[in-house]
Order: sequence, then structure tokens, then C-alpha cells
Amino acid sequence: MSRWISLLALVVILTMTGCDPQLNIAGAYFPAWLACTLGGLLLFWGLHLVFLKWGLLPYLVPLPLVYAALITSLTCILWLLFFAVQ
Amino acid sequence: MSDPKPSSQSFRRTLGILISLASFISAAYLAWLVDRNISKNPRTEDAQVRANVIGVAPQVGGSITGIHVKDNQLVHKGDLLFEIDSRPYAAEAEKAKAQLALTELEIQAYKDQIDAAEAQLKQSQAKAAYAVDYAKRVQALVGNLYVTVDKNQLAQTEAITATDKVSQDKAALERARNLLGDQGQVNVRRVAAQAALRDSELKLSYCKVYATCDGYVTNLQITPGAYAAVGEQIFSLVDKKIWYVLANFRETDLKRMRPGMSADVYLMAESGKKLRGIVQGVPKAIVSLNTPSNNAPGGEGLLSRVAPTIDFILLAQRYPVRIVLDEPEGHSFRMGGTASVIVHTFSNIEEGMQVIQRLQQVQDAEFVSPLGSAGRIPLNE
Repeated sequence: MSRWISLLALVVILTMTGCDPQLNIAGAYFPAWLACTLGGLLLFWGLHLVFLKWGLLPYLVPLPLVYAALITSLTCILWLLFFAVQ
Repeated sequence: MSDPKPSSQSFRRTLGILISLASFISAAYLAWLVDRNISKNPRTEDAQVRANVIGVAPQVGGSITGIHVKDNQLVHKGDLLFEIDSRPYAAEAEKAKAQLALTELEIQAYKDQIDAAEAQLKQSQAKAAYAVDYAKRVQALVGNLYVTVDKNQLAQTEAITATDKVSQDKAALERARNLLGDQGQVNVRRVAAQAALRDSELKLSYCKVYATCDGYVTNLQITPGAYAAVGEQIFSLVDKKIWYVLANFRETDLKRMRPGMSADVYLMAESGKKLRGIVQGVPKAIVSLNTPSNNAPGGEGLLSRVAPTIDFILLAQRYPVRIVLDEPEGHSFRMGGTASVIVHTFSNIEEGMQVIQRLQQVQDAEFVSPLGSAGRIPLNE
């Protein structure tokens, strides 16, 4: 459950900052894409657990590239949702 | 989540292959979407808030007798900022006023001189007329031996002398008129004296320095008693009417950018708050620091000095695109603050140009100095 809470917290933080491409965390400014990558990694972790549960890991080939592609996709989705000019 | 649990191995294999394929396709498609969004709306985090800064410098020298503002204070157009010891300039103005009165007397004296010269000329003209007539009469009598040759010669000489005296007096009258200095309707002596008086009064008025715009006093580090030299800046005035952001965009982003495009500006000082800006201008030139092979003059015999280079990865140059902030009232911008900017290259340019014109009109409001001479503050540096 804590996973979903942390995801929700991230989404709330991202939404609250509006579309500001710089995230202010304790006086330091982080670029939006960095936050999106972190969020993408967290989301991907959830996906990974689902794959484990379904026993799909042996059939995702080539696994490192599939995982990289999934992380990229999730990062892009987050960026498009929160930081793209609509 | 109600997961449909895949039962058979073949089903899992099919699903796995489908997910693999979908992941590659979605990654490529989403990355393309992101790239398209960024190239349509170029963004930069390398931007700074700027304002127009006026260096306040006195136009006359002297020691400062009073400073009427404090550092970081908001002042309004026409407010008294500081004063310079005006006594020498007041004395100069008095002197110029006296000089003007003296000039009036001089003009009168020159007019009297002209009258005298005119009288002198009339006198010598009358004398010359008589001498010429007399010489003619004597000349007629020479043949009959009623007059001596000597007397005739004397008469002729006197006629010539009297005529020359007329010429001399005409020249004297002309000189007297020139000395008066009348040119058409104006007297140049008076004009010069009046100009000198105006100049000294202007210098006297410069002893009080007024704010030329609404703005903030910045970097005031001086107290009364300090000597202020002509043209030497004492402190700065940050113009509060117009604020802009200089956003350093990569040269690859510039081809889509036009003045009038709207932009989103985010300030680090106001995190998360979207401000509206309009692209005012895209620069044409910067100094190239990237490539040393820019054919700089200054080698032997004024030939190009080209450094050998093996750079194969080059960074894009960045150009400072000027973005005017709309509705600057109500914000506390600070010059030098960090900003990030997103330009909308598909925005309405006409509307943006109207905003720029409106802001320009605010900026171009004319400043009237205490003596009534109008001066404009330029928008661009």
C-alpha cells in the first residue's frame, strides 16, 4: 500500500507545481525531466511487480531493452501529463 | 485490481512478446511526442529577470549637501533625489544676470557712438562739397591768371582731402554699426549675454537632481559631504515600469521565434507561478566563444589569426531572446533573478504585438525636467 501512497504523493507534488519546469525542493531547483524520470522509475517498479506476479519475466525479450523502453515511456507520459504545453 | 491470471505458458509467452513490442513502439511514439512538444514550444532554464537601470549622475560638480532618499526606496518620477552645493552656481547666475544688464548699457553706448559717427559724416560731407566746388571755381580762373598756380594746387589738394575724410567717416560709421552687433532684428551681444544667463541658470537648476522615472534606488552608498563629479554615477535607479527576461535560447530554437509570440515565464522567486511574457526581439549577434576559428584580425600584418582545432563535439550557442513581462504591476520582480521560459511558437503574434505596443507607450511617457526641457528614456539599451 505504501507504494501507492508514495505514487499519489508524487502526483500531488507534480500537480501542485503547475507546469513550472523547475521544481523547488528545499531551496534547490531540479529540472522537470529529472522528477519525471524518478516518477517513471517508481511507476515502473509497480509494473515490474505485476510482471513478477504474472510470471511474464522470461517472455519479455530482450529484458534490459524492454525495461529501458518502459521506463522511457512512463517518464514521457508523466512529462506529457504535467509539463508539456497543452 | 482484478487481474485475469494468465494460466497457460503459451498465453504468457504471447502476452510477453506483445508487451515487449508495445513497450518499444510506445517509447518511440511518446519520445516523438515529447520532442515535438519541445520543438514547438522551445524552453530554457537559462534566463534572467532584467530591468532598465538608470545611473544617476549629476550634471554639475560639487559637494553633496543633502540626500533625500534611502537605499532601496521607491521613488516617483520628479521626486527630489539629492542636492549639490548650489552657492557657486547661484553666484555664476548672478554674475551672468549682471553681465546681461551691462551688455544692455554697452548696446546703448554703441548706439550713441553711431549717432556721433553719423553727425561727423554729415559734417565732413558738407565740408567736402564746399571744397570740391571751390576747387572747380579756382580751376576755372587759372587760365586768366586771376589765381596763382600754387593756390589752385592747394584748392585741389583740399578737395581731395575733404573727399577722403568723407570715406573715412563712412568707414567709422560702419565700424560703429558693426560694434553694436545688430543682425536683422536681433542684437548678437544681447543674445550672447542672454544665452550665458540661461546656461548659468540651467547649471544652478542641475544642483537639484530629480528622479527621471518611477523606480527603486539601488546601491546608494554615499552621504552628504561627498564630492560629486560631473557625469559620475552616484547610485542607480531601477525603472519599475517595465520588466523583461533575457532568455538564452539555443541557436537551434531561434528559427521558429518571432517577436510577438507569447511565452510562459516561471520565476524561481515565485515557484510554480506562471507569468505571461511576449517575445520582443530575437538577437542578431553575439560574440562567438565556442569556436576559435572565427578569423579574428590581429595576426602578423593584420592577417587572420586562426587557431588550429580538433573539437568534434560543439555546444549550441545561446542567444539572449528578450521577453517583456506583461502586467508587471503587483509583482516584486528583482533584476538578476533566475527564470525559466517556454515560448509558444504557435501563439497569436498580432495579439502579442499589441501587448508590446501598450507596454512601449507606458515606457515612452515623457519626462519633463524642472526647466521644461523634454527628454525621452529609450526602451532598448
